[in-house]
Formats: sequence, C-alpha cells, structure tokens
Amino acid sequence: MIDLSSLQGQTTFITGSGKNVGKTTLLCHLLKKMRSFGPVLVGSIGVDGEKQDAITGQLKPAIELASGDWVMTTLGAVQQSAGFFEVCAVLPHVTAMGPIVVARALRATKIELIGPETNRQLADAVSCFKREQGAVTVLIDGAVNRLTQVAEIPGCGYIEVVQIGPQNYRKVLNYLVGLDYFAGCAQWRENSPLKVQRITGALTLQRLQLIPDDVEAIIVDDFTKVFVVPRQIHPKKLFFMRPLTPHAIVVNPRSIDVAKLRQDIAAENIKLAIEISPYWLEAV
Amino acid sequence: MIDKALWEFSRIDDLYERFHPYSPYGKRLKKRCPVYYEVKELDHEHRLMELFLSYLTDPVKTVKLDQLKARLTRIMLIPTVTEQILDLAEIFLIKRFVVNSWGIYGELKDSFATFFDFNTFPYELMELLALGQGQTESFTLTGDYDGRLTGVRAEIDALLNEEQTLVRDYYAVCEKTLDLDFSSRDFLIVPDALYGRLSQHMHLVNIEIYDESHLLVRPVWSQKLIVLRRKIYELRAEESSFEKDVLRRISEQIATAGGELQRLCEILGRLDCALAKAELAVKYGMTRPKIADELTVRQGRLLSLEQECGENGREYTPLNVSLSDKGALLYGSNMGGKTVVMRTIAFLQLLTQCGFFVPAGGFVTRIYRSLQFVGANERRSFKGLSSFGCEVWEMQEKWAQGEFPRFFVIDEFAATTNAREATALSNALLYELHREPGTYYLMATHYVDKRHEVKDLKIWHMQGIDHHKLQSLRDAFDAASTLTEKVRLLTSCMVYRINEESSLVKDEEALMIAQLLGFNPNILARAKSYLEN
Repeated sequence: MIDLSSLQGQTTFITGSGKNVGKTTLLCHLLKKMRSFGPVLVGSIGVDGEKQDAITGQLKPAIELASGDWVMTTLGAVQQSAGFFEVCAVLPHVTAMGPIVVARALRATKIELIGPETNRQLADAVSCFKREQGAVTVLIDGAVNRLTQVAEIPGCGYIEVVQIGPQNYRKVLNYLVGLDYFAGCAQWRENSPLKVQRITGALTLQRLQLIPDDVEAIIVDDFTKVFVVPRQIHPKKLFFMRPLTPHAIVVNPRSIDVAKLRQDIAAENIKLAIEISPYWLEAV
Repeated sequence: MIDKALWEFSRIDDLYERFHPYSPYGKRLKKRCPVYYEVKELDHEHRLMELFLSYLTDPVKTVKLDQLKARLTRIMLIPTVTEQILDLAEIFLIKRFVVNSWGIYGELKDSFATFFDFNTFPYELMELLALGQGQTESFTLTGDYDGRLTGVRAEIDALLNEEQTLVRDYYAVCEKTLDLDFSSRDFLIVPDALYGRLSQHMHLVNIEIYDESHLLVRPVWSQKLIVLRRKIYELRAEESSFEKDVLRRISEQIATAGGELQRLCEILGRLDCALAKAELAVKYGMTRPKIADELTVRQGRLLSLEQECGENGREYTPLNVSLSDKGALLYGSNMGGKTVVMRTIAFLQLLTQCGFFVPAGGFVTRIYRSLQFVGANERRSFKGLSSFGCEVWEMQEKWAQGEFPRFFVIDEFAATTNAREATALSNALLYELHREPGTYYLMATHYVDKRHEVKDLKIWHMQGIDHHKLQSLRDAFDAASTLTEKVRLLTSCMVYRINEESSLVKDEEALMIAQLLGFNPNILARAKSYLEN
C-alpha cells in the first residue's frame, strides 16, 4: 500500500513512463483516499489527450470532487460540470482552452482536468496556492514524460505509474532497476573530497566517454538527464543536483504472473516501494 | 520628446531595471515610461513621491506600507468593461481588484482626494460582489443574489445526499455479499476464479474479461440511482439559467461602475509607481530635483558608473557643475571624463523628466520639450552613407524636428572627417546652437578653436592627467603587462574635475596616453617630430 500519510500536505505528481498507463485512474483513487487527511487540490499539466482509460479501455473516468475539494482547471471545465464553485484564483496565463482557475467545490461533482500549458506556469500556480492555503495536499495528474515538472517545484514528489505486460516485461523491469539505482544516488554536496565532473544537460554515452578516467564522480541535474545505464557509469559515482525519488511506483499488470513479477523485483534487489495497482485484487 | 539615442546614452535603463512597481497597473505604467513636460504635472508626481517618502521614513508607521504593498501585489489586471455578460473568472478578478482597492483607499483616502480628486469609491459594486460571502477575494454566485438559486440548490443538495446514501448502501451490500470494496474505486480487477460467485450477483456487478486470468468488475447502479442522477442534471440546467441571470445583473452593475473602475486602475498605477520610486529614492539617496532657469548639479552620481567603480575598487567622483547660460563646451584630453559629465547630466535630466528623484545632493534644471543626442556611440547607420554622412544627416534631422525649449547633447561632432573642416563645422554648430532661441546644449569636442564666435562661451575644461602622480607611477606603467593594468594606472592618474575657463587652452595629451598604453614607439616618435616641426 502507498503510504498515504507521506503525501499529506505535499505536492505529488502522478507521472507515467508512457501514454495511457493509468495515471488518471490512480489519481481518482488517491483523491478519495487523501480526503481523510485534510483538504486536497487536484490539477493537471496541459490537456491529457488520452480519452480512454488504460485499464478498462473505456472512456476515462472524470475526476469526482467532493464538497470542499480544490480544483485547478479551465473555467470552461468548471462551467460544464454540474458543480457549484467558489472561484479563488485566476491564473495569469490564458491557455488555448481559456483561463485556468483555482476553485473550491461547494458540492460534489465530476469535472475534467485541464492544466497550465508549461511546467513553469504550473510551478508558479502551485507555489502560489501553497503559499496562500498552506497544508493542502496537492495531487497533479502529470502528462507523459513530464518528470522534469517535478524538478520545477521545490519539495514536491511523485508517484510513477507503469503498465506491464508480456511485450514490455523486460523493458519495464530494466526501467525499475534504473529508477532504483537513481534513487540511491545522493544529492551533490560541495564539500565532497571526490574528483568530480559536472555535466550540464544530458549525460549521453558520447559525453560519458569523454570524461577522464581519474574522475570519480559525475554530477547531473536530475535523473531525467541521464541517458546511459548504471553499468555504463560504473565504477564512477553519480550525484544529482536535484534528486528525485518516487513516493512509490504503481504497476498495472496485464497478462502476466504477478507472483513471478514480485520474485523478479526481489531478485533485482530493487529497494523502491513498488505497489501493484490498488484496483487489483490478487486474492479474495 | 526624448530621443532614443539620448535614452540609451544616459543609461537610464539601468535605473529602470531597479524600479519595481508591485501591481500590474504600476508595471504597465512603468512600461509606458511617461515623460513630464509640464512643471505642474511634474510637481504633482514629486509631491506624491514625497508623500510616500514620508511614509517610508515615518518611525510610527502611520500608514501600513507592508499591507499596502501586499494589496498592490494581489491586484490582477481586470477585463475591459463592456456591455457583454462577464464570466465567473472575470467577475472574480473585478472583485479581487475592488476588495484590494478598497483596502488601499481606506489607508490613503486623503491622498485619493488630494492628488486625484477621487472621492467616490464604488461601494455599491463592492457590496454587490460581496453578497453572502463577505469581502474575501474569492467569488461565489451565492443564493443571496437570487432566491431561486437557493431553492434549486437545496433540491440538488437533498438529491446528492440521497445519492450518497444509496451509493454507501450499495458499497456495504457489495462488501457483505461479494467481499468487494468499491468505496475508493470505480472498478476492480479480480482473479477469474471468482467468476462463479460473482455471476450469481449480476444485478450488483458487471463482469468483463480483463486478461487470461482476471476479470474486470464494475458496479451496476440501481435504477433509482440513475433516475436520481438524471434529476440532478435537470436541476443543474435550471440552476445554470438562474446563474446566467445573476451574471447579467452583476455585469450591468459593473458596466455602470466602469468609469470609476477605470479611474481606480489609473490611480493605483500612479500610486504604485510613486511608492516604488520613493523606495528607489531611499535606497540610492535620491533627492527631489528643482525646476528653474539654470543647470546646477551638486554631487550628481551616474549610478551605473558609481557601481562599476565600487566593484573595481576605483574611486568615483560625483559631478559638481553650474550653468546659468544656454550651454557649455566640454573639452580636454581623451579619457578625461567629458562623456561621463554629459552622460551624468543626461541621466539626471531624463530621470527628472520621467518623474523620478535624482541621485544628487542637488539638481536644478529646466524642463525641455525635446531632448536630443548626436554622437558616435549611439549612431544609426544608413546604407551608402559614410560615418560622417550619417552624422550630418542625423544632426540635420534632429535639428529640424523637436519642440522648444530643447536640449542637445553632442559628443565629438565631425570626429570622422578631416580636422580642418571638422573644426570649421564644430565652430559653426556651436555658434548656431548658441544663437538659436530656446536651444540649450552640452557639446564635447576636440575641434572647436579660438575662431568660434560665441561671446562669453562657457568652457568646461576637463583637468585630465595629474602629471606628478603619473611621474611617480612610471615604473608601475613599465611593469604593467596587461591592458587592464595599464587602464587602471591611467585612470588613477586622471583628475576628474571641471575647470571653468574663459578661453580655450592648449590641450595635447593624446600622444602621452598612446605611449602609456604601449603604442608603437617608432610611430609615436615620428608623430612627435611632426608636431615639433
């Protein structure tokens, strides 16, 4: 189970390694669960564009707001919902879908999430909201490959959603091994005695090969800039300016043996919290 | 009219970058860079700044400036008020504007009346926007706007409560009967071994195949719940039409108060800029300029250069000059500071006309209708024209335009043509500048000579090199290997002082400066022999 108490009062992005992996579905579940910890704001980055739910294959579930929930979405989405809202902020950037508002639901309703178009705008909006509202839990439905947005907002975390099946089994397992390795890399501290090299931008194989042998450690902004596998970096150490460690990784399995998956995860010595989807009942 | 070239020459942008109004209206006004051409308008702006200066330095803090700044920061640009129906977001922005403006108005009520003759705050609009919700910044279409909204919402709430009860009951039945918890999930994926048990309760759940060994199970909602949800949507449509009526009424009221809102936007922009300017004045020790028919600078500072000197550990010499005549001719050795003198005066003059206080112990000046610059540093180019051609074309263009009184800053006119004709042109230009009524000037040149025809010409001679100090630093000059070191030594030998002369004095230090900077000795020796012969 995801440690929900660790999300309380924090900003958490629900991110995914690919399109249509079940991010919104997990967000719906977390929203219902997190209410018992206090007020919640739900938002998104950009327009989702994924009309179908990854797991059910059906039209995506709308976000179900309860009275008292906060939402960040377009004014159009607010007006099209069956809700009754208190408008508390209007973001300064108007999107192609109209102005984005932060509103508090005054009764239960379903709503579509459409977020700011850029990471910077989202970061500004969330920071401003947190400054004014304090200890509200913020859950953001992240679009694909938007992990960099996590780095934009200081102190926020993320939950990574991955879908795994026979076709991508090994690839996903390698991806989890990589995430685990990156989670073990510390934040760079100036007082380290190691001989280091700072890489600005992407760490590619070509750039890695140019690093002198006597360099003991490499410093990179965050793991989204790393395009080599751990064994290629070895024996050098890797440090990040901004370490990004997921709260949890949620796996949506299809057509695989979940027990074997658990064994393989254990065999790879992955220490990250890896959870099977909360919609998944292995035994009743 | 301020010439763009003079704007750039003065480095006034350096101060604009340090000027930070808080509200979008202040920022918008900053972007417009208003210039004052009337003494009365400028006096108004200065008095407003003085008011904020008094608040900033008031030990009792009668006016709570922190709160004022917070309110200015919270204001957002409001939509243009038209006859159209405003949406929720637009009304929210107007409410936020009105609420914060009210806070500012409460704090500065006397200033609104004294400086802007604004005595009628749109109270009625504020009260309307606060109906049933108070003077918070958020906005809700409460039932207080229309009793029909209260009624329909009560019906919706009752149905929602009923819906919640039905859903809760359903979850309880599923948990008890099927051991499935749907309370935080719209569906569940379960092992297909459960099919036998689940299939006996198809009235409760819908079953689909998920993969080879799992089923996807969804709730089947009762007929009663579906009917109830349809009813909620019908009521919502009714509620929406009532909300539109309310939005129309509020929009009409906003349109009625449109003029006052517009005026408030302007006033807040002015107040905000005056506050930010007063903060700059405190930070950089700026004083109010005085308007009179003269030019006097006491301890005037060019902030960008002062900062640069501070960073490089060099002493900065503030400017002290006085000029009751129409203009002055600046001359003296290269690197002697002619350009800096003109730039400092231009900086102080532009700050004055842009409504700022000035970084000076005292600054007395005129207000000009037109301020122009002609000089090599900011020169435009024109295809097919030489540097000299561009210069005369630019001089002519600027001479022909602009209103009076006007102020010309001219740096090294005709420096790119032969010395004989350049001198003739410079003498003639000086004569015309001085002769033309309503024209004031500062002209820096090496070329004006004793043949000029200006009676009682004000001559500012830059003192230049301190030869005693230079002598004492000869060894250091010889040892200096980099240009940076040489420049540092040379500037340390310069005396940045203006000597007022009654006639032009001999002023030849160019070869010495070239020598100190390490210029080719053979060329220098030959140049000296030319001069001697």
